[in-house]
Amino acid sequence: MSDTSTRENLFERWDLDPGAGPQAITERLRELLLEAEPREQEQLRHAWETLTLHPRRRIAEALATYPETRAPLGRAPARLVEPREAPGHRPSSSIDRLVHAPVTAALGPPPPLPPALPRHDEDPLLARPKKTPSPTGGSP
Amino acid sequence: MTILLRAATMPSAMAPTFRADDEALLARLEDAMVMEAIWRRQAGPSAPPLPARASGMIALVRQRPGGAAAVARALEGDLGPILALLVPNRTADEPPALLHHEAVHFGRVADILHASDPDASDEARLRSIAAWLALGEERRYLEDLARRAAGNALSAADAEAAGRSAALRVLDDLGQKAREGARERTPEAGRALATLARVQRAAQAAGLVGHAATSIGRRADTMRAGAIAVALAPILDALADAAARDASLAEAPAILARVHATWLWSEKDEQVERFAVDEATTIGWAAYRATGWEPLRALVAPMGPLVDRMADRCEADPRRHLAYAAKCAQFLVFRGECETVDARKWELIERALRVCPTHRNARLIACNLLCERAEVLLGAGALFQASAVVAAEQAITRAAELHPQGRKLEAARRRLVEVRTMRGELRP
Repeated sequence: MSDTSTRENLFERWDLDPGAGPQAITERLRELLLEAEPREQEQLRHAWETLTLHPRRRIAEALATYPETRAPLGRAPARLVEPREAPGHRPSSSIDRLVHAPVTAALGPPPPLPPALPRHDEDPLLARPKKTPSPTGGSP
Repeated sequence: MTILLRAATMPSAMAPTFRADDEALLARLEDAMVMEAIWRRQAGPSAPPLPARASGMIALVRQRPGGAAAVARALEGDLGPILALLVPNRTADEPPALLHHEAVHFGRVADILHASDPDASDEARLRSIAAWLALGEERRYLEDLARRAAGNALSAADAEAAGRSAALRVLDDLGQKAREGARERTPEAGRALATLARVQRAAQAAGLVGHAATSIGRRADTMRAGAIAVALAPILDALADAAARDASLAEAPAILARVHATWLWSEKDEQVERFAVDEATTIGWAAYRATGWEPLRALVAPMGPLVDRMADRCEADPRRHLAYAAKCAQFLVFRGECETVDARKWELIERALRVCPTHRNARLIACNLLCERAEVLLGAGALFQASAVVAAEQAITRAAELHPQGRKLEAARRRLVEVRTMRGELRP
């Protein structure tokens, strides 16, 4: 209906905080710009100009989008298994930890793990033999 | 749909590891699910997804009385309770942030449903307007958010003013849309006009009272009047052009048909009725003086419904519509004179007298009609029917009250005396 409702709201398009001032918007858009493709870079630049150079437009856009009223995300759960201690362990994503944390808790404390293997650079078996001087004093 | 792994329902071995942060995250996920379900219900399955922040509305609803239970029911698939809570109302101590969510959200719903379900779209638009009006009345929330968004770029006063104006922007947009399509009478403009007509209801729903509600209503009325004036302007030009070419009688019926179309487009607005009565009266007299009844019949045909509606208004509130009562009555007289069926003719003349009891032409024609009726009653059969004589006498009495100088009055009186003499009620 209105100008701001028929097209995508810039705060929503680039996931910006509607309560943020021009500096915070600039920082966020700069971050996005570093990873953007050329076509997106142009759009980002347009968004930056619109939101930072025209304060009344920024206010209109900020009021035309949903305010941020969700609860803060908080800390992620502590990692239950250190990757270095579990041979062959694949580092889990945050969503994996969220899904598995209650299950892991229900199973009780984790069973003792087999002795961890040393890191490659610390493994004595993989260590290069120390150079010994050749009898001729030259290179081997 | 329900996620059951709440800390309270967990085995004791698991509970200690389900932290407050996990609880918050779970609530956030549930809010997102509920918001998605509401959006799909309101906007349909093909609507583009909402931004993630939209689910913050559910987080706020949770904190309202009955909100947590409504969210729980929504997670079980029953959206009724939570939809009932999403009705903007400032008097219900609704937090401003929730009003802001509702204002934006129902605006989105209205936009999405604009083409597919106009009624639902209009209802959503009214809810959005109600939420914006409630926010505008609260003021502080919009001012604060605008100050934060402005940063140092504007003075605090300018930023606050920009924030406050946002509450009325939805009305301004409607007014602009109505004006833009008024000349062509587009359906979109007509709906914007209709929504503006219901803004007063939105103001009441928002809990606005007194001057605040009146002021909003007046603002909407002004916008409606502006759009209707734009729609009527080309008709006015056409009437002037026809008059300049001395073609009013020939072209007026078609031009007045456009007035009728504009009246329907504007949902039978009073402004169009006044325009019609004002503009058509002069041409009506020209048609009246023309040869035969056809020119007048052609002219009054498109005007009939408008004049009837205006007559309703005059009868309902005579003082307010005093200036239009006589014009309206004259048009009813014109219509009455065109009629060929006596009963219909009498009905219209009597209505003209109700609308404007002092209208001279209506009284004169009513007087003549009553005298004609008395003459019929006093025909040959009256000698043997006392009731016919009584009815004729009543008609003549009323005719004399309406217009004592009526030209048919004297003849009717004479005929009454003759019949009563013949019946032996009077001495010769």
